Amino acid sequence: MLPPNLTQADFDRAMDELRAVLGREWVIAEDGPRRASYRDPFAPRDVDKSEPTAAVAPANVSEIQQVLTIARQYRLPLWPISTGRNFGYGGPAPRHAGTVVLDLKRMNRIIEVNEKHAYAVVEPGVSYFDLYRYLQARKIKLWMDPAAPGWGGVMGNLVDRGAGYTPYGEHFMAQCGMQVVLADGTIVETAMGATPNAKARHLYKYGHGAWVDGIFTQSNFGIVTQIGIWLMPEPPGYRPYLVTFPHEDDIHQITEVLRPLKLGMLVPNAATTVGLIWEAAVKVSRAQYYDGKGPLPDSARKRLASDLNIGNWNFYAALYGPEAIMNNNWKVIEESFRQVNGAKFYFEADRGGDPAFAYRAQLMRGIPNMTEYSLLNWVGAGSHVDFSPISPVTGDGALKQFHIMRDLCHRHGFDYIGEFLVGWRDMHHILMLVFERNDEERKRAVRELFEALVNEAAQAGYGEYRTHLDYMDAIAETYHWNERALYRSFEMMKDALDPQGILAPGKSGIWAGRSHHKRS
Amino acid sequence: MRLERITIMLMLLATHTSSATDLEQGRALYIHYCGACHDAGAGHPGTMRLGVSRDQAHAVLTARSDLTTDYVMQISRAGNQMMPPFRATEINDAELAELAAYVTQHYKHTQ
Amino acid sequence: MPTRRAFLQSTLAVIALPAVGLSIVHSAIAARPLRFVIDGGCAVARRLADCAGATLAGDDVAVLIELLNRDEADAWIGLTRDAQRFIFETLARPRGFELRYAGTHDYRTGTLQHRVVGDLALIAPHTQALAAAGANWPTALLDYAALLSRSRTPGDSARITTATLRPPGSADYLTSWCWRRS
Repeated sequence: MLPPNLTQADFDRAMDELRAVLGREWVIAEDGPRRASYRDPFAPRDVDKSEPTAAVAPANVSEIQQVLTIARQYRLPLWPISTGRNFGYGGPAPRHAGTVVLDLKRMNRIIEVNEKHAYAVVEPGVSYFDLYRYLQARKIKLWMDPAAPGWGGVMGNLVDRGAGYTPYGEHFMAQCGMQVVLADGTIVETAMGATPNAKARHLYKYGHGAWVDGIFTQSNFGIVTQIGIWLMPEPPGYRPYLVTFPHEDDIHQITEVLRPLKLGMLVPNAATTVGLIWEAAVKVSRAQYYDGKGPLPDSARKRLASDLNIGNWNFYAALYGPEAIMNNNWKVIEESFRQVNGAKFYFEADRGGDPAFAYRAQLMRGIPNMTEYSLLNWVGAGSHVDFSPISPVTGDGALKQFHIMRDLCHRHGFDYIGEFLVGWRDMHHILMLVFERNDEERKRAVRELFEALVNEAAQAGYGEYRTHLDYMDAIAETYHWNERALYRSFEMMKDALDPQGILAPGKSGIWAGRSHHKRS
Repeated sequence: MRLERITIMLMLLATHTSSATDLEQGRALYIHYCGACHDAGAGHPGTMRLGVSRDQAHAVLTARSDLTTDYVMQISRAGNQMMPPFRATEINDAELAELAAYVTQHYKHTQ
Repeated sequence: MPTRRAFLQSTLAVIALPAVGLSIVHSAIAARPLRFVIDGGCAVARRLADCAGATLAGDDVAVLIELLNRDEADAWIGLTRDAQRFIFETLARPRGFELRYAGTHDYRTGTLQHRVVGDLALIAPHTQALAAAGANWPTALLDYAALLSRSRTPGDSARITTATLRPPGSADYLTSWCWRRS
């Protein structure tokens, strides 16, 4: 599929010019496995229709600028990706097949790790595994904060405002300093980086004047080419723990107990309250417990909980710091959770090599792994698309949202596979919709379920924090307060920064060419 | 006569399997890109999946003697079911060949 | 007996407005998975076309048929006269589309009256936008395109009266609609 309004002849000319700049090897425009690797393999619709027109891979900022010159000339839409392994939200694929993916994976330098001030500076192609191995090889006593699949991108995930599980779990909060290439080819260093020989480039986030770093996240206003990220100095002690709770409605009390612990930083890390099936699916598959259709029945849930010694909710968090502090904090935490009837407490030794505990323990101390991917084993040949509304840290809020989403899943024949990722004052309620990738009927059902979820959330006033390519417009429309004032401001910025609309058209529902139509 | 014997010797040398140093690069690539999903033991989703979709005998990639380099390279590029593809910008073709050599031959070195 | 094509063309010809036909919007860079069908002969409807960065795809029903057959878009949103709406309906239904939302926009009483039919609770932001947007009301169809495609008919209907006058070059009575592949 050609980009809109481009003739085949013009497209071919553009590709030739790109080959002259990048080399033939790094312009992938022909049918075949090299281009097919840019599809969204978990697309809840036709996977092959997600394949882009072409992909190009620059090696450095200068090549990016040259690519942009060609893109502006031909009005070629570009879709920048970093590591491109954000499966569940679209992976390396663009929103529309008539787009050229700008694959930045070749730019994979770890530019600096500063142990004294505890930060790193990375390019787009650096994965969590890359950074972890770098730190390990040099015995640097800094922890990083990976998202659950370790092959994800340090920059890519952060710029999409993703999260991890250590005290630095809110990734964007730990960002300091950014280099961006604008659509017209201008290279911008933000904040302190805009002063020559900047000494505090990665120490102080805000610089002088308007702080713009945020507008380059989850958007299409520029191409981020470098990012500074604060790393956590290795603490003197680390003790991960698990608390299990027997009943589904315990989520109410769990959340009420948790709020003061989070606000008071007794639970300093991005903790997770994990539902039964999410917890179990890392180790077992559905077929081992139930061979019927529809959600797992209660009898099977009971057997699952009993076999694996887990609860309907499973709360993972960790203690950090010197021994005395960890012990003291533990007293308060244990006393607090003990208020919930049936709560059970476990440290590492109590879980005896349980792979679910093991991977959480790794994530909460910054060791990347791939274990959570096993969730796709829950059904045979699984794919997934995620739905993630924000929930307040209140018992009422969490319980209500949980009931709504669970009931919708069940009504559409799916299991509720969810967890609450607990931040300071919010929870990311992550719902993983796992479906059989080769079953057209199931894909249809998951699309219908997703729509029902979007509708329900829109009417209940929940906003999603992130979404899959196919749903970006739908989610954008829910942010419509004051006649879409927020999106109208995005559209003004888009038309100022990218008047031809060549960068990631439609990312987060932001489109070019809208701002000059003012309300009368 | 002498010439013939020398020729034969050269041919034999050419068919022996990769040396330890050749596989070292493949091993490094395997550890970096594949191990997290395909190593033996619990917590490795690829191994877990193969244990279900095939059987335990075929679950651990590097223990298998039935894999060909072509197959490994093809699967890495195209993906397979829940395993997404690896792009050329992640592992280029030359690296993929080294990786495939390691994966397909590793079983010999653990006997 | 006239051919179907002749019948359709004659229907269009009866309503004598300057540029007879349908403008089909391909947003230049936007390239959404839904399409807009706009009456190119109506100044007010053309506002929507401008807003979406539209290019005229043709003024012949045959173009429409070809696009519908090519199966490129899941959902079609229209701002047209009633006769054009009817044409689209006869083409869409046999191709497996269902009506998700319908609206009318009537200047005939002097000031603009909207009527919308669908899942009213869901499409409330769209309805509010129609009420608030004054003369720029067609942009609501673009602003809430994804929302309208998730609505369902038959639904309830709501009436919105405004003080907006009919601008020159505009049709008296327009319909908006969303058909979606089921």
